[in-house]
Amino acid sequence: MKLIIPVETQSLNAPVCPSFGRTPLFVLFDTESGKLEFLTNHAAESEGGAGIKAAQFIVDSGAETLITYRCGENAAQVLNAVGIKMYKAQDGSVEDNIAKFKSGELSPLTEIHAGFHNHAGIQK
Amino acid sequence: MKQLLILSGKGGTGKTTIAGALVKLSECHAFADCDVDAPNLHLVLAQNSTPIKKDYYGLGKAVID
Amino acid sequence: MRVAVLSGKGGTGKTFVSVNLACAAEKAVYVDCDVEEPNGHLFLKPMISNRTPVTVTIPEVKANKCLGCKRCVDFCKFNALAYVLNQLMIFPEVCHSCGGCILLCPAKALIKSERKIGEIEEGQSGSVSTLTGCLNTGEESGVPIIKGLIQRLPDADTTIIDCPPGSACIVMESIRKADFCLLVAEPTLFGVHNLAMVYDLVKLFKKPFGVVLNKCLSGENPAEQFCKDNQIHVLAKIPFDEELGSLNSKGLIAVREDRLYQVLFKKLLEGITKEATS
Repeated sequence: MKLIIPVETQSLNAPVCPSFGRTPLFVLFDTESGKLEFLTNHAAESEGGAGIKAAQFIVDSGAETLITYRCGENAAQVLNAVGIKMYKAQDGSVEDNIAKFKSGELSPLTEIHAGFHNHAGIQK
Repeated sequence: MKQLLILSGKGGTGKTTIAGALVKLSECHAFADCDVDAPNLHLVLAQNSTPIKKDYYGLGKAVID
Repeated sequence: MRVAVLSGKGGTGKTFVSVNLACAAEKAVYVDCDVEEPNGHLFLKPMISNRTPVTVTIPEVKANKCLGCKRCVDFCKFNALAYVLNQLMIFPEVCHSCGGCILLCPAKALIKSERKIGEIEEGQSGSVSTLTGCLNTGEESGVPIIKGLIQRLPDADTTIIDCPPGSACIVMESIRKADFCLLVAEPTLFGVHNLAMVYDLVKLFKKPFGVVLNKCLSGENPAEQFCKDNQIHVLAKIPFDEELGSLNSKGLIAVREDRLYQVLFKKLLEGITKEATS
């Protein structure tokens, strides 16, 4: 099963990125094969609608589960349409979160925040 | 980090004045003047160093080849 | 003659000046371009004769024609489109109405649809005809509503355009067709800082302009000094008056309640007419 998690640097020891739509990277992890891939999140460069673009990217990556601190309503709409499950990240590294997910310690993400309506700006 | 937002709808009610006072009294680590159209907070809160300015970019502009 | 009343800073007295100018004229049109938070109607209390919705264009997908090529998704700079499970998802509030996706679709599966963002109210208050723009809460831009208001400006008559605060897009749209710009200044540092911004704006737009100094107190007036330093014509000085504040807070129009203000605003209107037509 493919897990996808936003992360700031290319390391499993790094913490889960607090941002979803504007995270610089996603890590795609296959729980069966153990295969790991760090992917650049091009949505971070968007002026607006970053969440939607990031969600589209996640759908296209084939991921089935997302572990994140937060998710906006527009992105959630895209992910829910495909049935991608969302879990709330906890403090600690990406590796810790993967372990907690496997042992069932992570809770589903229920708090979906309102969209930022294009005003989140560009990260340069 | 807890973020406090000061807003009012109506102009000239005292947002900047109150924000300035709260910034001083709370000894907060960071504050942001989001009134990008007419920022005034910097006039109230004296800065003790030269500000670092960064350009902000909007969407790209189309150019005809 | 079309007079745009602007200030940069909020709360300096744009609506106060605009409403009273309109009421001081024998016959006038008052246009409220502060579409996010129109306040003129609180004083004028117009009888509304008409409400027109203002819409923006968004795409609508004909699912049976959609090829799933995702050209529209990749094209949209605002990321208002997503394609998942063989279905195109459109996010109307994110869409900026550029119309590009509709033009680009190779299967012509996208058509134009309209989404309401607010409305324009037409009304009457005594000798003043009113045009009020109202933007729905949470909407991204009031520019389409202001364009709608400006389209409805009469050719004859004294027209007073009550502009939004600031100096960005919505203000620029509001002053575009003005014959004269009246800058309302308050005697504070903040006020002068923002006055300088709209001063730059009116010069950029090459509009004839003048200043009215509002809420004047005794002592230093940084706004008056700014006008002296830049040789800007001050058309009127309105003293800070608690009595006026009281009238205002009750939603009363000074010109209709107090002869002093009737004289002041008639004189101001004459001054503006003289400057605008010279």
